[in-house]
Amino acid sequence: MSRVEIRVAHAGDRPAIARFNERLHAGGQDERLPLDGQVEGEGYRTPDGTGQYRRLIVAHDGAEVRAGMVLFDTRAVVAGDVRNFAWVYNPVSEGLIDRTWTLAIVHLVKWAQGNRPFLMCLGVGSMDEKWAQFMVKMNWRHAPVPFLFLPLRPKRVLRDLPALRSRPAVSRSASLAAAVGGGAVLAGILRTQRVWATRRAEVDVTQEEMFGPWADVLYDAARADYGAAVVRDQRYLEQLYQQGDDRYRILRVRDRSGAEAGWTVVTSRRMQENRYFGNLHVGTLVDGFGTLGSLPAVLGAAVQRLADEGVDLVIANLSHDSWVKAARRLGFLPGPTNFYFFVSPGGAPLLEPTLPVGEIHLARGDCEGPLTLAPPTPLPTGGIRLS
Amino acid sequence: MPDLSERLASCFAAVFPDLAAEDIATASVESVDGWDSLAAVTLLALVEEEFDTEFPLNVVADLSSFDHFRTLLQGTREFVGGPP
Repeated sequence: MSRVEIRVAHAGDRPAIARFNERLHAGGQDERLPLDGQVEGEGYRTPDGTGQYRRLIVAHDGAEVRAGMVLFDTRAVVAGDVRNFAWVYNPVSEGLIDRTWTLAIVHLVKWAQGNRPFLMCLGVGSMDEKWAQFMVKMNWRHAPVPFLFLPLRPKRVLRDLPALRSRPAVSRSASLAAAVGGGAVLAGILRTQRVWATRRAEVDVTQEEMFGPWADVLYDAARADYGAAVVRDQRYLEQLYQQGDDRYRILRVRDRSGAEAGWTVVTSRRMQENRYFGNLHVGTLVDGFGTLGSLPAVLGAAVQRLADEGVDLVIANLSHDSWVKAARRLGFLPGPTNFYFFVSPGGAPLLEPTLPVGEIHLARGDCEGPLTLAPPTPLPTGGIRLS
Repeated sequence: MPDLSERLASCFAAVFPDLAAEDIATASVESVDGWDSLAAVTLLALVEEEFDTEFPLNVVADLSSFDHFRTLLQGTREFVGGPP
């Protein structure tokens, strides 16, 4: 293999990135590197001086880009200490179509790990994915992140969910369950209504245009409740969920005394022939934070808002035990997860016995964000800093 | 004590069990079907463990054949006669 240089991509790399994507496409691969400085599905900007930005890292042989991935630098509070780290996502290598470049991705990840020992990755899709196995071989620790769902229109969900439709035996059961109302599912909805009815009286829920100083007040009050979480302060949040991005609804929850109890970000999308959700109207709990005692109210507010939007189904990936417990209390059901959390050896003690996944707060808004669970971005390009 | 080539060959045999013993010395990314990125990182980890070393980043991209591994390892004096 020719010598490759690993570096941050710059605007002059765009033609080479376009050629890279074309070669992969011609080789029958769907993967691609972002070309236009925008992370697809996200409206993210990178104001200078924040220390929080996404960058495209490429392996370049002097003429062509041979591999690349995105590093998203930000901060996490881990066991009380604020630490810099980077999310890693969208790794793509020309080794997929030409074995000459097999080692490019190895080189790239080792470079990233050498520059930022504390790396994390979320999502992946399956432990059978090569990228998942790759991280395991790199000695990254990993854990599944629970998937929870709450069908608000059980008949439609049971009838239309592709995973149910595709299996004849299950499909017949689903049709039967749909006809009678889907016992467990219906019980879950009733539980949601009951729990939310009792909590609704205790809190005020307002929809906010954007995050404000109140997010910092809550963050300072609640951060000690978590073994680890990405720093969810105002600065971080207002970059991630920008004013004017109407894909997201920001719900602020206060108790009756006016004290900040929590917040949540939700989105919804009418799917069209989606691989997982068919044509269902799917609501997603994208993000949230709160004191642990307020989580049923925070989640209840999210469900209520999504119910008002008419979604068929609410879904969430939540790692922290208290969030999972609160969701279950509300009637969410556990489902098989294809959502995995990985952390590099430099991220200790995350996922070591002293700090298991159940004490780490992760949601769909982390890492790459909700991707196709949210509608396509309405915002102009921003995103990856090509410099 | 097996020599460097034998120890390296045992790493290759572990990662590529279908590779005939007589083909190991000439094995390369181009010649071995299963030598993908996952096999590459597995092989790298195994060789680093066997020889108690860590390859510097600037040579990782060159580790594309048995011969490249051997040359690099031979360049590190302590591997010549094996560990003390």
